[in-house]
Amino acid sequence: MPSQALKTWRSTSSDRLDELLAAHASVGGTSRGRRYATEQLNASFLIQIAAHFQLFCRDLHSEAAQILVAAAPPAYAPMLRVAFTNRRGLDRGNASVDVIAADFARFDFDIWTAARAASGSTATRQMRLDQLNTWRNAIAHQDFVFSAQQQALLSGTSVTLRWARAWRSSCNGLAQTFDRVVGDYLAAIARHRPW
Amino acid sequence: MGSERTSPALGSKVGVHYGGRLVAAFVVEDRGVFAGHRIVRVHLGDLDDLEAPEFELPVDELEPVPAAA
Repeated sequence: MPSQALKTWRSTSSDRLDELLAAHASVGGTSRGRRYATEQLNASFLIQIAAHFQLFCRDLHSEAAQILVAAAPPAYAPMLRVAFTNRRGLDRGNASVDVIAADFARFDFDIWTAARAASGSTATRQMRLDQLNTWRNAIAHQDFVFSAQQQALLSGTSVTLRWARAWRSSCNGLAQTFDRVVGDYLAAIARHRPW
Repeated sequence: MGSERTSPALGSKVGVHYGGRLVAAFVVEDRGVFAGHRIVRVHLGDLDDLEAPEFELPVDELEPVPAAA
């Protein structure tokens, strides 16, 4: 059984993303108007993928925090709750590679190292997440002037349905791997499988 | 046993244990049910204070607003 966070990612979040895909498919024709509409839908789809992946990471963090606090002596609970969840990066910013690392480091856990050890696809998916968040910020701020480093990262990619599907697929893979490695980590501390 | 009872309305003023005492806080988000507990996010002090502590705890750990608040 997966975490509640992964269940939500695979149900509610997946449904919302599929609705956007359905809207994309319903925009018919080959006119210039259609091209503009699909470009806007591609941008919306990309932003929604980033938003729902952020929600997944945040939910997984909240769930892990709850399990770790419950495993500690009761007197530790108030201080641990604050230490784990006070003003997290995931509450206010993108689920960037660095923000994810910093928030899960509050559990003394290196999530990216664990994820790379668990799946040979993590390094590529991590790069795809970087691409997704870079495009997401460009669209959200309507600022498409990229640094040399960003240009290298985004090279060959574009805000198209094909690429959005690829980023969604990478997020799917990361969600599954994060669910597994966080579950393993919690099991070692709490001495029971949390999910 | 955990508690999945409903969250207080968003914006409700509640009491929470923080810094060794009971202080007033606002419920700013219902995070859902995790590990059998409904979790809410609370904001301490003025809602306009963007630097104020903001953290999560189960609804069954919320207290009445302290009298001094």
